[in-house]
Amino acid sequence: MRNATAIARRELGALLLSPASYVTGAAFLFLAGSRFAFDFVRTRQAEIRPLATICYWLPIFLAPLITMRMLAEEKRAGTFEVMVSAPVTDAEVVIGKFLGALGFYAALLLPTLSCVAALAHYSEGPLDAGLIAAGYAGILLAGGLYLSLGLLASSLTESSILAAFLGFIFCFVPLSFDMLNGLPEVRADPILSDIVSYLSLWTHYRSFIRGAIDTRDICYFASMTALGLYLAIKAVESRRWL
Amino acid sequence: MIRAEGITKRFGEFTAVSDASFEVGEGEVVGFLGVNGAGKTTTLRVLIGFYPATSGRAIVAGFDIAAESLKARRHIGYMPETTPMYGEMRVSEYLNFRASIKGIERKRRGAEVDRVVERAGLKEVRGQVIRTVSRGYRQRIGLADALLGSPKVLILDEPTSGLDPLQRMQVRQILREERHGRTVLLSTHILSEAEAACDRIIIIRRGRIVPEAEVEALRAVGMISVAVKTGDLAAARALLRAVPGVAEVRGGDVGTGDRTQRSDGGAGTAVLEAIPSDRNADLREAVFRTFAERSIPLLELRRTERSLEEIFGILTLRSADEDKSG
Repeated sequence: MRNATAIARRELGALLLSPASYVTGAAFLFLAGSRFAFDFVRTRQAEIRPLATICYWLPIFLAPLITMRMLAEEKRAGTFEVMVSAPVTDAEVVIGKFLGALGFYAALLLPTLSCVAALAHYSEGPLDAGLIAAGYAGILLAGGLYLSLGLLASSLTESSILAAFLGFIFCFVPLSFDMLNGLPEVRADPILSDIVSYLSLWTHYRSFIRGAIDTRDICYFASMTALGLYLAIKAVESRRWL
Repeated sequence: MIRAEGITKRFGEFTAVSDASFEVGEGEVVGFLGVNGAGKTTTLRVLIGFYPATSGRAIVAGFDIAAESLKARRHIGYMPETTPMYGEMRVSEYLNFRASIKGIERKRRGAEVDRVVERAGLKEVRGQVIRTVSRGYRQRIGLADALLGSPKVLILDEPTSGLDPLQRMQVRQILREERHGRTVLLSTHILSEAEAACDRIIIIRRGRIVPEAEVEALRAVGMISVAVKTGDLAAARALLRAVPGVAEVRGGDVGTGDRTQRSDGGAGTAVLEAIPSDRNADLREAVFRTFAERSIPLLELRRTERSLEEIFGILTLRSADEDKSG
């Protein structure tokens, strides 16, 4: 784990030094902040839901942009070869990069606390800190899932552009179950409906927005993120199968 | 120590390395030569555990690189050909990062980075961002990285590629100083470099290691180089040709290596080369007696070998011929 931490620190440093990260981050914050401000002015409701809603789908585009270079570029440039010539496992490399990306995503969420400050300022009563904490937990967990899928995409190719494109597709998959769940054919079959509902990201995400932290939802995000990372590790290891 | 035991590496139908066996002992600096695509980098990648061999095994620093990869990699310093590194990092930051993932303890890390910075001559650029340093410095950063933690085994892929002669000399000097107690395997396509820096050469051709005996046979042509002081070049040539065992005499004619210099009136120095009919025969004594009997002064008499460049050329031509013949 020591190696993963060192790799995470390096990745976070690289992201914080990259102008592209700031452009992406600024676009994300602009969209999230605008949506929040628009909803707040429209509804006059002191709730975090608008921010959480945009953080449900916007990271589909953001996460692949954060992770696209992480493995693809390393393989293309040859730094991956240098990295694994040291006593580092492939799993440590992937987990380290994931933690670095998650750290960057978390840092990106910090300015959104200004939205919470605005809520606190304009709301008539005290804010429900539990609701806000649960909302942020959901945002972070969903972000982690998207980042693991982005990293999986990056592990499959040496082209950063292709990695970003694949990442968009992969990140869309957990959302697509929610759409599938709306189909009458799926609803007609209770077993299929249960499966699709369980796989749907929204089913688990909305609990956090409502302020409910359920172990089943945490398990969903943890297991899906772990699956994404596991597949990324296997993809990195695939060079040994040739 | 590095021991390759029948390493074969296939990528699908393509065999990049076939049954490669060789050994590099402690304290040895061995050059690994081959034309582009001969299988050098693939072999080196198997040796560092980047990917496993399809068959055969490699023992590095006493550990099977496939079965005990992490243990083996703790003792390997590797420098790939293009010295890829993170351009946005500062030199010292990068080396610190490399030291941390190589398992060098935090309290020793600073001193170790200082040591390799000093050793590789990176003091001037240690605070500089890597993407702004010259190619020569990048090579040295790669070398400094390989030296971190004083690994028992150094595997260097083209460590002097792209360097100017002075920088090459500096890298050679570093290798000379760092070789003690280490095993160094370096691939290079600069043959003079290999001859200057290495104790021994391993040549790989079309994925196969050329047996050392074959290289030695090519090297030892048993040619005798004779520098005589004479005013009659034709007579000297005839005399040398008459020595029993001499098959051919070269040199002496204008355009074919005539190096006769008239410096003291009639007599000058002629350098002639005698090719023996049996490459293992040592004709020096016979040549000496022949010229001594005629009282012709011999200024120099030595048995020469083919240069590495010539050997490499012959092997490359053989490869091309084999390709043509299918």
